[in-house]
Amino acid sequence: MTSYILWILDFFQRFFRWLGVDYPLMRNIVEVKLMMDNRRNYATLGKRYQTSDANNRLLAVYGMNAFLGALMSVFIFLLPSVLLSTTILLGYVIAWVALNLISDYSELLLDSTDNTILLPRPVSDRTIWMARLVHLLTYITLLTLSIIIVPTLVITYKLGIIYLPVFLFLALQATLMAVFFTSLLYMAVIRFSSKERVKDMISYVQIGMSLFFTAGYQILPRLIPYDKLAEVQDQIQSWHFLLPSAWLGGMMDMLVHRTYDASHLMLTVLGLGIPPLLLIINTCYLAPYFTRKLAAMGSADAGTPAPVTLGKASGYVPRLAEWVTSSQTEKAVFEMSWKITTRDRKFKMRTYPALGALVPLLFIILRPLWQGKVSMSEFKDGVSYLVGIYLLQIIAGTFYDNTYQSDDYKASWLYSAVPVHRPGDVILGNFKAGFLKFFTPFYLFTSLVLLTIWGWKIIDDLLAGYFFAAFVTSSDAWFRPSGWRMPFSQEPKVKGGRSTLMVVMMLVVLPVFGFVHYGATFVTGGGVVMMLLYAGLAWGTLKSYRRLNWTQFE
Amino acid sequence: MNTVISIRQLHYTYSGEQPVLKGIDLEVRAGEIIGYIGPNGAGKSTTIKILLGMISDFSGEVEVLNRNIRTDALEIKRKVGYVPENAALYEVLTPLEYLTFIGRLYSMEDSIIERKAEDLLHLVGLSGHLNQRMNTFSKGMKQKVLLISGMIHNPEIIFLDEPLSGLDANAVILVKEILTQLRSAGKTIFYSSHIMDVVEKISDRIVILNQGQIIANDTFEELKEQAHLGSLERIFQGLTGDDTTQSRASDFLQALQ
Repeated sequence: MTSYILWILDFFQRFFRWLGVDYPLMRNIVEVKLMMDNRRNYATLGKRYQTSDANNRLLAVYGMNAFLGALMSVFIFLLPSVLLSTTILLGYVIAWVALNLISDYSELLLDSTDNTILLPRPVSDRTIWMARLVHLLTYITLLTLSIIIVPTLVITYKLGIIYLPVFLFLALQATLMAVFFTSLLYMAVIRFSSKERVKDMISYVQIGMSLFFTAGYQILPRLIPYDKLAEVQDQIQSWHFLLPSAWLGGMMDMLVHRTYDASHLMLTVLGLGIPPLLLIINTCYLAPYFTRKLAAMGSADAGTPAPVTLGKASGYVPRLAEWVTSSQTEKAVFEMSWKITTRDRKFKMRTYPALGALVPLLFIILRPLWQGKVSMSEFKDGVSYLVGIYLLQIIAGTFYDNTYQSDDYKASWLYSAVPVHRPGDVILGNFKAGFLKFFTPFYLFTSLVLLTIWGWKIIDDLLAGYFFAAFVTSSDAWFRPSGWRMPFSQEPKVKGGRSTLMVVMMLVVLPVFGFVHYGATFVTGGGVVMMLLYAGLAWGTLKSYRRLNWTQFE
Repeated sequence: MNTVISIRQLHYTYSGEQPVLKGIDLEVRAGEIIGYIGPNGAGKSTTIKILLGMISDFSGEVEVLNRNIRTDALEIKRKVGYVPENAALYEVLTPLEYLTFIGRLYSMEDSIIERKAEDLLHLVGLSGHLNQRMNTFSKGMKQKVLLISGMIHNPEIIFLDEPLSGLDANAVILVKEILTQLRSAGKTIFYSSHIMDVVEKISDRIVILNQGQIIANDTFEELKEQAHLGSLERIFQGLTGDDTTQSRASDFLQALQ
């Protein structure tokens, strides 16, 4: 793909030379930047495709965008309203381009390595600037094209070939707005905080995107009231004037239906006029300010992040550690694990998206009620909460699993250098921190939802589920094919997953235990028995950690 | 010998901060190895960035190879090389890809770049890693690539900012020998480091910077004579005002009890 882009670029070399750019150098920089784009990690791709040797990641991103665009095209077929379908589609373009820019392009934008490498070389500022601009424009153009390619074909098929250039033009306007909104967001964050904060913000956007991928696909199609949308007429409402994508939708609607009334004309004027205006504001004010601010940050940082001063460890963590741990080693590891998982941005990136699984889970449980297939009293008589309790176990292990990986994995030399008598104390401290910090609040939230519906009668089942999670998660380590390891001691492998045995357990053991628990609900006090059984199992497994010795570790 | 670097009354302040450089005057002659040392935050890296044309909003006069850095930065950059303090590399590239990229920025022919890159990588012991992405490299391996990238175009002046960082003992000896031979070949080396014994051994002249000002500028022998102290380390301590080391070390031991 890079060679095709460069081939197209070569057609414009006279133009670039005319602008005073050293074309061969610019081409060289663009080529390397595109090559690196193809090897970077992308939030859009999630974990699965990020193998270490991939050379065509950008193509995979574009493929994913095209797939999403195809899904969005369904609206064009389903909705008779041109105004609504175009508004939704272009709204999606604005949101998706902006999200991609924030999550993926900003990594390049904030990388000061580029300046250290390029600025000492004999390349004029104009050439460097133009190379960056060409790279950005290529990135945005391909990104937008990948998103709109299917919708454009569908629009052309449905409305006629004449609307192909119209839709492409509208997509361009939508992209300009996305670029503006992204700049505005950067400005807002960078004005008040440091480059590190901007990186944090980007992480949260990336987590949000991953959450969307985990949860959104399953929920959104079910939430859309297709029957109601199909009845929507092409009638302009006052809120359309507040929605940028509706300006463009209004323009499309005006051309398709040839309705040149005041409302349509006003939306068209907004759709035609505002994006170029935003481009001017962006070019003249936002971009230079942003560049200056970033350059100042780059100089001040001089390659190291700004110091982050923290107060004494927040009160409740040491107190909690004191309460739940039984040795100094266990306590030390508990606090260390708690702090690292709080502060390590990459850990959050790996772990928080799993929270997204909660949404489809609740959806699955509550769907019959939602869809009105059962009444509330019928629903309360059922035991579908058990499905929720047992499905949550799958997520429990994800949090704990991630505490074994870290970018600072080399720091784990420490465990072999210090006189830790019982390595099990380290494992136990880490387990308790991960379980209490991540799974417990997560389980509490779900429990609250379930308690609201089923009431206190299910409290024994919920407690049983909690102990079961402790048992399942802690026993997982006994079956790891890779053997025992210390917390944060493994290099994060994006492609890595749970052990095969764990997968088997999820598929076989969970349903079996779930079924036994289901049977227990028919017996008076069955829930309490399950609770005691699981508490005993969890206690036994955790107790077994104490027997670990150093020969069992890698 | 010709003067290749001339700095007069150089001042620089990062926006909104205390001044970093407070009126530096310095001349460097062709074929010299200048040891440029100072405590953290003294302004060493800033001076180098100004000499490389990476920072332009300074006040004072700076000439490199008899050209004004403000007006002829591009011409100067063609003839100087730079090895930065941090291993700033495009790590997703292989060493060969990276060096090809850098060579092209100096408008070198691809065939020459390839030959030089392969030869140089072989000489520093990286011939088995030519086509391996650098994100898997150790710090020392990256530093070797960085060193080559700063010299692949055979520059007249080489600016080195902590060039030995992460290198093993044999590589350190090799780099020291390369620098000595580069000097014999008439190249000028501007060497900034915290490793005093290396600076002491290889430098023709030592410049000590403290709080943005040059506080010493002489050969090691002359500095030794003036300060009546035996090693550069002791001279440096004396001049930069940090002569409390002994008492602090005792306090440290006390605190360990």
